[in-house]
Amino acid sequence: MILREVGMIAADTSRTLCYLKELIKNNLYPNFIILLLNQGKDILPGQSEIPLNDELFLLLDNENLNYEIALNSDINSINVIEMISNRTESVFIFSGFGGVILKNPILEIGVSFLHVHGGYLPDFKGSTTNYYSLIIENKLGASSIFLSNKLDSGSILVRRKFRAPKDRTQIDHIHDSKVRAKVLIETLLEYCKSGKWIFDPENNLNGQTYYIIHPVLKHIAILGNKVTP
Amino acid sequence: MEYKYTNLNRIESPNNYMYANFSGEKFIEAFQKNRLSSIVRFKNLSHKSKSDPKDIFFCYQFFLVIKNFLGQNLNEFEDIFFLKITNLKITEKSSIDSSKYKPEPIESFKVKDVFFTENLLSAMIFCQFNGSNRGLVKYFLELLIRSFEVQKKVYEKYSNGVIKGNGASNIVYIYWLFSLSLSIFYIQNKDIKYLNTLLKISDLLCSLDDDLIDNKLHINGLILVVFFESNAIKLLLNNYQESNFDFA
Repeated sequence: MILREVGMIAADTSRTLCYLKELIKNNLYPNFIILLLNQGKDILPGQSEIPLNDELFLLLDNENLNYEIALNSDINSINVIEMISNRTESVFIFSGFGGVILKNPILEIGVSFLHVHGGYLPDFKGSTTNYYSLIIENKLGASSIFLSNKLDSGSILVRRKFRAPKDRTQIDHIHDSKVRAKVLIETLLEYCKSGKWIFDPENNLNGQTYYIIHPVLKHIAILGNKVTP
Repeated sequence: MEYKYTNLNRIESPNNYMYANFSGEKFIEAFQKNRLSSIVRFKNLSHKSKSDPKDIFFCYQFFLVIKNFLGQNLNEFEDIFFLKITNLKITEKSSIDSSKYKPEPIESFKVKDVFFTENLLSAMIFCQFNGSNRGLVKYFLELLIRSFEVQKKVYEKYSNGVIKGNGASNIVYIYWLFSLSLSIFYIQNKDIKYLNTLLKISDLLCSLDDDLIDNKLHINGLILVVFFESNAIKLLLNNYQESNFDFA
């Protein structure tokens, strides 16, 4: 099924690949995809060391998905804003590079950005929150929201908690993406079923904001599944 | 394995800590080794320590707080080491009298006004030790954390909601006061968000060459913060692994 009202803005990251695979598996095809390609030599946040371009293009072409390439990794650039403004879709699934914050004017162009945050909202806002929730409650979380100008504070659509994976060494590029993809699919299925976006009653204005996790705490979160003798 | 986060002066070359690779238990060992060697290095600087009655008061109070927090978890070696640290200079009982130190009341700091970070942190720490104004302490600590995490520095002065600081950003004494406030808050609230920023501030302090620390702060206070941080990590790791069962 093609979601006529829904587009996608996607960077060439492991998360985008995971989202697309799940969308295809669930027969939920975005009407149009704007693909942000990293043309620089350095790996950007969210990119694994293994280049994904070939796999990504193969998937898009095999599924006959409509897409356009932006040779620009900055979603806030004029070039990308123009591309989005020229589209007819009212909602764009957001899967940009890690650590990017959408700033005005992009939030004021009349399009909503559907984002799945890697953390259970409003308890875990900010960056790398799934490592914090592993330490605090031995769980991963994901929450879908429409982006607003306040960090991770848009109205919540769907939020879920997930059991911690056995192998925690692949949180960044596999598990975090997987749980986000599950919530994304649930959000879109709910939208297809009801014909509108249904919000969770939880107020998302409060909660704790976390900052990028220190490598020592990240190691503790990963090593935590080892039961001491 | 090398702990690379203190290799460069982290005031001049801040680290963004993005997507750190997982290196297993060896990384935690490297971290602990780094902190131990920093403590040994700082101990050799103790004859060049700056101290005033406020710092001695803070160090002694902090010593009592972390002794209570770490308490029975200190093994014999650590206990002796701990006592040695605290006996270095915090022996003048008369200096430990809080009446000799009168900070500005925390209520006098207004976010819209320009204020000096050293004065604010001193007022916050004083409140943290006597358990007063918890809400205000948390409010200001959150603002300073946000500012540090975004700008990677702590500035001499702040105004207009604290995010953009101004003045010098290389005042080692302010970083130490910030680390002290974060340590006490973590002890009192067990919230790892504060331990997270403490780890970054400790990286910064441990990354500084001797000449940048000499006479800039009370060395025993610096040793206590690094010692506490290193032990808080040991405790967290032990507690976390013991209580964590994988049901997946």
